[in-house]
Amino acid sequence: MAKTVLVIGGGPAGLSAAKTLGKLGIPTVLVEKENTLGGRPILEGYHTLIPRKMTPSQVLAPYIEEVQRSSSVKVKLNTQLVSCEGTAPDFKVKLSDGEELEIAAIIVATGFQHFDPRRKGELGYGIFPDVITNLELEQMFSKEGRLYRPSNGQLPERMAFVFCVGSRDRQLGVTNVHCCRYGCALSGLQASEIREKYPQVEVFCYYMDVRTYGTWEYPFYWEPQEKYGVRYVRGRIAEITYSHSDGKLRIKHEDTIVKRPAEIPMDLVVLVLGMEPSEGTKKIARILDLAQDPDSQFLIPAQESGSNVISPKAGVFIAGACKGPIDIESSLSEGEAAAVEALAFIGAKVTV
Amino acid sequence: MEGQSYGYNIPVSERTKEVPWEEKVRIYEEVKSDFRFKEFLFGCLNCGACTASCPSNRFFDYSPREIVQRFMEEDIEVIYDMMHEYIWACSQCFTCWIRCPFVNNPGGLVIIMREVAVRNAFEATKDLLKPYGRVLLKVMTSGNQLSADMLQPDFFPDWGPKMLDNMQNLRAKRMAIPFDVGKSVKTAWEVSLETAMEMYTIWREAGIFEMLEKIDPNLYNVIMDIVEENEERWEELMEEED
Repeated sequence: MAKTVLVIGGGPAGLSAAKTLGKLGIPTVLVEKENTLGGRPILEGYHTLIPRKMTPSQVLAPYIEEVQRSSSVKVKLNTQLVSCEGTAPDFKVKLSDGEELEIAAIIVATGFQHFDPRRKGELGYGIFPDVITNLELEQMFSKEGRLYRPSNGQLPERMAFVFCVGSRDRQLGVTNVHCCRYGCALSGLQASEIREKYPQVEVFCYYMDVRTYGTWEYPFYWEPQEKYGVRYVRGRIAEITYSHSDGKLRIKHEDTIVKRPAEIPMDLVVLVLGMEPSEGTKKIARILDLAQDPDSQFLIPAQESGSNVISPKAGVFIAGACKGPIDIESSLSEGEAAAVEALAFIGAKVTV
Repeated sequence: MEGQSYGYNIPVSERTKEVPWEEKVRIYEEVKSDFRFKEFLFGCLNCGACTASCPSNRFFDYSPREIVQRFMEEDIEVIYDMMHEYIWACSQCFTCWIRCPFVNNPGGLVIIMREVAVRNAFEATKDLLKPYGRVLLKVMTSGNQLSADMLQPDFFPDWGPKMLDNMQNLRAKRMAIPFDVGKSVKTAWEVSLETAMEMYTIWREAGIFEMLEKIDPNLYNVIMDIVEENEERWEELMEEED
């Protein structure tokens, strides 16, 4: 009996798991519910990825090509997992195209979704056209190649990044209390890109604290300030309004360093969105009966394993943003780790 | 009263400095031991969303974040000083609470601090309540002190168009209220004796009468005369019922 591994999700983590399994000659089925591989970075048209400042296709195209070329990996687009019976290593799974497979191990890489900022009504997203998301800013760069105010198509004179929208926020209930991990660094990068291309645009970042952890500190915190002149102001934006008098937005905050309340005119405001588990992640958690964090609903690994990719359910491995906010390079690493753990689990002999 | 300026400069008032340290600790402990305290203060990142949202902050030397931070620091002397003037600038709108990403309730902390200030008959509370003697008298005895036509646009320049609409056709609106409010727009209505008894029970059980006795004994006597008179009337009525 062929010992097949099922990889659910064709984003960075799923691609890297499938790529590793393919390299080792393990029969693998990769299911992706969209019609394209690459996950959020490709589907949503990200412009530049942190931390390596490469485009999504620069990073992910080699993975996609290798998975598609591999003779042992079968890619099934527009396909979802419908059900899963039995226990490892004899899972019987059914896919949305009707196909039934015998599977020895499963790697879940179903990812995240962006927070919907309409839930923070006081920030005016969906009401004022010049309040946009950092995702829309990425798409502006990647699809149109220029920066502009949606209200009039003009280059903004002053713009602001609003950190932690949909993150670290108990007002949204227990689901969004976690940190998004990527927001500070991506904002530093986006702000730097803007200042490099449009030195006349003043760019401000409004933060509670800046979490450019580890080696990200210099390229995404100090460089934006020292090399590109991005200005950091400490205070969480409480409210965004609009003034008819000058057609500009007003962002309201307290500068908590100098203890000064402020209402500042801005031409463009970028909301830095938090991460939530995707609908796919929640659905797969139900089908496979996986452990979830009771608050955020992200998948959680088996504590006693000490590993980040081994789920509490035997034969099921979890990788990437389905487990919580994560950057692309860690996501790719987790895909590789999950692939190797799956391999060890099914006891496959690797041809050297 | 002298103006305060907390934060980088912390000149607490001379009056506060003269109060024995033990007394300030006692007041601080009374605030902290309130059963609501732990529901009003969790952790604070000093993000400033409360102060940025605070309407009082726009007009007064008052910052909800400062209150939270003083409790975080256990700054007993500043907290004591705040209870004399600073906290009375809070308008109790609780925007700080609905905006705080960590669901702290600075306005709630102010409630507790104000109650402790009143219970301990701080001089400041006496000064603050002085202009409200008539209001207190009417509210505490009759449960009511305004007639509908007392709210006029002339006195409220900040009213928007909706509020102005609300004040049109007062009489028709009054008549539509489905319980007896005297059918008048010119006079306040008096609550029924039964309702007044319930109200007095609440004042008594919640310690409101005691608070008032400490901060304004004269007003307390006037109010208690009316309360006792009403209670006697109520008892007579009850006896007749039997």
